[in-house]
Amino acid sequence: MKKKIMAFLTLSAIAATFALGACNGTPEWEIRKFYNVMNTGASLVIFKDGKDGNKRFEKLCNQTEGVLRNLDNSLSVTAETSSIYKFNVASAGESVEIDKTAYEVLTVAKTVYQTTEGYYNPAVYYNVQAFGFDGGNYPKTADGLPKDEDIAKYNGLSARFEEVELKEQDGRYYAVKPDFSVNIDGKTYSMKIDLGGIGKGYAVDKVDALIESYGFKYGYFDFGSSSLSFKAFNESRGWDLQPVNARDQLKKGAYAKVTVSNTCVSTSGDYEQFYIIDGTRYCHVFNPATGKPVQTGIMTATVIGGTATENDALTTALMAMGKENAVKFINEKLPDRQVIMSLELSAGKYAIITNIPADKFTVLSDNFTVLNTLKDGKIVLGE
Amino acid sequence: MSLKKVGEVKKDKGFKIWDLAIYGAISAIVAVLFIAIFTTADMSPLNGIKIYSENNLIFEYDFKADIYKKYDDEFQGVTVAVIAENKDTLEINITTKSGYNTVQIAKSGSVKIKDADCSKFRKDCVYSPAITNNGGFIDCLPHGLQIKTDNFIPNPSIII
Repeated sequence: MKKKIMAFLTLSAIAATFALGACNGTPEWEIRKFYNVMNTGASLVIFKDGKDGNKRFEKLCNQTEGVLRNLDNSLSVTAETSSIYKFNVASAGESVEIDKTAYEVLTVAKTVYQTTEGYYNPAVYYNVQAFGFDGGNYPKTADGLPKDEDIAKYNGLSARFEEVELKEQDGRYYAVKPDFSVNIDGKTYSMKIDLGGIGKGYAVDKVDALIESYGFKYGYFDFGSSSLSFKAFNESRGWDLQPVNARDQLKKGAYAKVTVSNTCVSTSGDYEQFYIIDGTRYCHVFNPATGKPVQTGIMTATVIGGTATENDALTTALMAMGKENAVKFINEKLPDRQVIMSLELSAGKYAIITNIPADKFTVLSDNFTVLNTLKDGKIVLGE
Repeated sequence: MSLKKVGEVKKDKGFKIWDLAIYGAISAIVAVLFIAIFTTADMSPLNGIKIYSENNLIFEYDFKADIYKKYDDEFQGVTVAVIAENKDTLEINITTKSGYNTVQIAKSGSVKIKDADCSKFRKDCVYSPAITNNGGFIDCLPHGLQIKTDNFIPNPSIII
């Protein structure tokens, strides 16, 4: 009898162990796939959560690759067959047939342009080129920077982005270029646009929908660390998103932590592509109002929630707005999104502005202090 | 050997200068290698382990995230079964065509082979010390099984 009881207890213990193991929600293993599109790395990380996970993942990978190739073919500013290339080389006032991807991305770009009152503007491409951020060489001295009168002319072109007309007719898509050009040193310039940044967000939204449609619950898709979509990490928790300290690139140390799941995230910063001339930092994020790289003190802007396409445009706009305008914009226009901005106060001293409640947000660096409080979910800046 | 030769050898010094130079050089090389190995070894706490069967990755475990992944369904003749798990320990049985190994992972940060069915006179893997840092390694030659350390496995933290 004693032996039977012992055997029963032992079997019960083993069964309980297996039952607990099965219930802890930890996915069995992880599968990942890397892509290189638009000179940017993208990675798809998925945790298997079903017996046919391999087959589903293979299909997901193939379709993801299709989304990324399609994006490159559509939005590239250098590939002669892309819709955006055709738009850029067209004459002022010309109507250009574009593909559906370019049409959809341009539609979002125009909406965010209006929402942000022009602080997001993809038509600053000449400015981007003039400052050397199109893959060319960075200026070494102040003499290599573009002249103010040229920048003013480029700004005249970008200021007309709202005039870009989008049309859909019989299943075909068209963009009409504003009938305006400028002359610099005897050469005629018409509007050029670059949708590369917002395009990454568009791809992330598409891949996010694919992950959803294949039924994967755990994992994430990361496009260049600037646009990401997250599922859960496992049944009981999300991912710990940690925005990097923009002045500590070497260590890649993060300044804050917030847990996210089943959402999209975009971030912009002045630290990925930049140069410094005479103590002034020139980065690849542009302020359409000045036509120059942003110098508002905002080092990074991260937006969580909504769609990655919009977020990509919003983070750029927030950096251009500057502290006060950005806070006003977040309070009025982004009540449904979580926003984190990091600012440089002085060398080695930094600040954070966020609308995320303190109990859901952790500051990881002693060099960073939160500048604001929250009242009814709105950011209140201190004196 | 003639008596004359014996006499010459006796008069000779125990060590000639070139003998000493060669012995010195060998000692220096040994000392340098010793220092190099011990100063470059990664002695940091264990992040994760990967288990290979015939060079195929079949199992991995991330200590920080407390998450394991099995890849045995990708290789014929290899099965990985979790035979026990609680908050402190994870025990797995790895069965290949050559035999089985029972691997015990202490979630506090160490891994060892608890049992194997190779000859009782061998079982070198069972007697190998547990891996407790990123410089560790366990090899089971009869079964073609290797446990290597690796910190590649992601944890829930993502720096952007």
